[in-house]
Amino acid sequence: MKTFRILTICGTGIATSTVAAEKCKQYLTKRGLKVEVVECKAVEASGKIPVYSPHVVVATTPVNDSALHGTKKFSGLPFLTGVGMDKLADEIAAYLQSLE
Amino acid sequence: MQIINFILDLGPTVMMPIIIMLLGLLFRQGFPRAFRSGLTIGMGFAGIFLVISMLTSNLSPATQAMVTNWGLHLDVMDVGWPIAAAISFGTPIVPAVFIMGLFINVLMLSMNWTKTMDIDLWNYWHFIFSGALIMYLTNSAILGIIASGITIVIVLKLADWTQPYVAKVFDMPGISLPHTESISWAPLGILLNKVIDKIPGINKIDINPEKIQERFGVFGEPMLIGLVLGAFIGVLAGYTVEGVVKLSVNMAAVLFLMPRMVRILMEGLLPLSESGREYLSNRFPGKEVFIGLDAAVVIGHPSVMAVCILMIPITLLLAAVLPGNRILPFTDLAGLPFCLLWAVAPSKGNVFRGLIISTIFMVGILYIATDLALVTTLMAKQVNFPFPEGTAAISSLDGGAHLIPYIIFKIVEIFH
Repeated sequence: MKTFRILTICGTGIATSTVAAEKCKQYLTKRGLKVEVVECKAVEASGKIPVYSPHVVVATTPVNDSALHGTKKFSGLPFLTGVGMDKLADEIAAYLQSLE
Repeated sequence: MQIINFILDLGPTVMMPIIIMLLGLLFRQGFPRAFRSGLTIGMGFAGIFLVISMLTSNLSPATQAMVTNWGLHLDVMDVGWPIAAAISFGTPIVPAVFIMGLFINVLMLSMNWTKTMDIDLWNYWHFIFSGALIMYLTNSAILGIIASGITIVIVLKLADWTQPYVAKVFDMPGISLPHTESISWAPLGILLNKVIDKIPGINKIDINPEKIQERFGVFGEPMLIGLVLGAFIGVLAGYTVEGVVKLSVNMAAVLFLMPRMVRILMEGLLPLSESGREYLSNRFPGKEVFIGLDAAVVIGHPSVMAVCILMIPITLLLAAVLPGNRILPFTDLAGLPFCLLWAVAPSKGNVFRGLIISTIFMVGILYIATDLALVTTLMAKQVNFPFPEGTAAISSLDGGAHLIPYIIFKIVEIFH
């Protein structure tokens, strides 16, 4: 089974992206997907994306579109607030599966 | 009693894991999970201590040389918010503040005194920090805990009050930012923005943030800040080329590694944070609330980023020329967005105004950070932070941004 690479982006790369990353991994694994999650800060995104080539970006802070290099971005806020986590996970899972 | 003292003497690396584990058991996480998160916290502390050792052992002699060579009275080291957080989590009032904080939030929500449900338990460290300031000033844990409580109430109210800005400027409806070191400055930021509105000519200027991020964005990266600043300090300290390069790389390493160590701490706190969040959500199913989050969710805004990048040299300049300032900005140059968020938000992202207001904020932050150096250093020593011989004092720009706790601190100081 293919392992999907997910990049979580946050303001500090510490607090919020850790939560988003853990939840992301948890919820997507529950939906039967194999994922690898890496975190970074908003300022590092532009440099990190070409190197890591994530399939999808989950951001908990605003990110410049130019920094995304065309990668699909989801707002990771639901993973932080606890509201709408299942819906978000469904959307990400659907997108990843459509990539196969 | 003996046992408690024994545990306290072991220092935060052992004490915190035990406390977190006990809190976890209290929230019914089950022993394995509670134990793991406790141990992970211990690992986080161990990692943080390692990095701060590297910071002080490298930077301290350099800053002392700088003082000798140039008469620059920048002898207070800015160790940054990660250390301030770690120190706060190492004080004995942690469990009391956690539990009291949740209780206050629940109480205020049920009485409709606030609409903010602060689920960001990581940032309870700010409340603990406030309490710790008062505790070490007055030698009374009770007063410290009360101070924490007062801070929590004020921060929740400010979060409610500024929520419309969060919704409009940052496009986050239903979210508020009860984050102490940013929101303390919100009233001042909003006021200053209104003042600028009245100044003819100036009130029309704006600068495009995208251009700034494109050209200078790379300077916002902590690794590079460390490298450049380390080199600069090495030169000022009169080091040989070899010395300058070594210091430069070591400082880059410190700024790069520190956040990662703090991440480990955060991982350990996650289960507790989840439990706290579930507890709060379950008490108020279906109630209309603002969800209180870490300000990190908005600092990616291009105007905020742009202002903070430009503020790096401005901050350094201010630190050098302001009479009476003793703090050498360093680690928290990477954390400026948290302190300066509300310099930018009131004008809806106007970079020019953001710069002016930020500069004014920064003057305050530098002086407050200098004033808090004594008690911050004392706090660090009390929680057994590793200090090499002859290190002067520590503080942080982020600590300097804790305006509300500082006001409480000064008021208590008058009566003490």
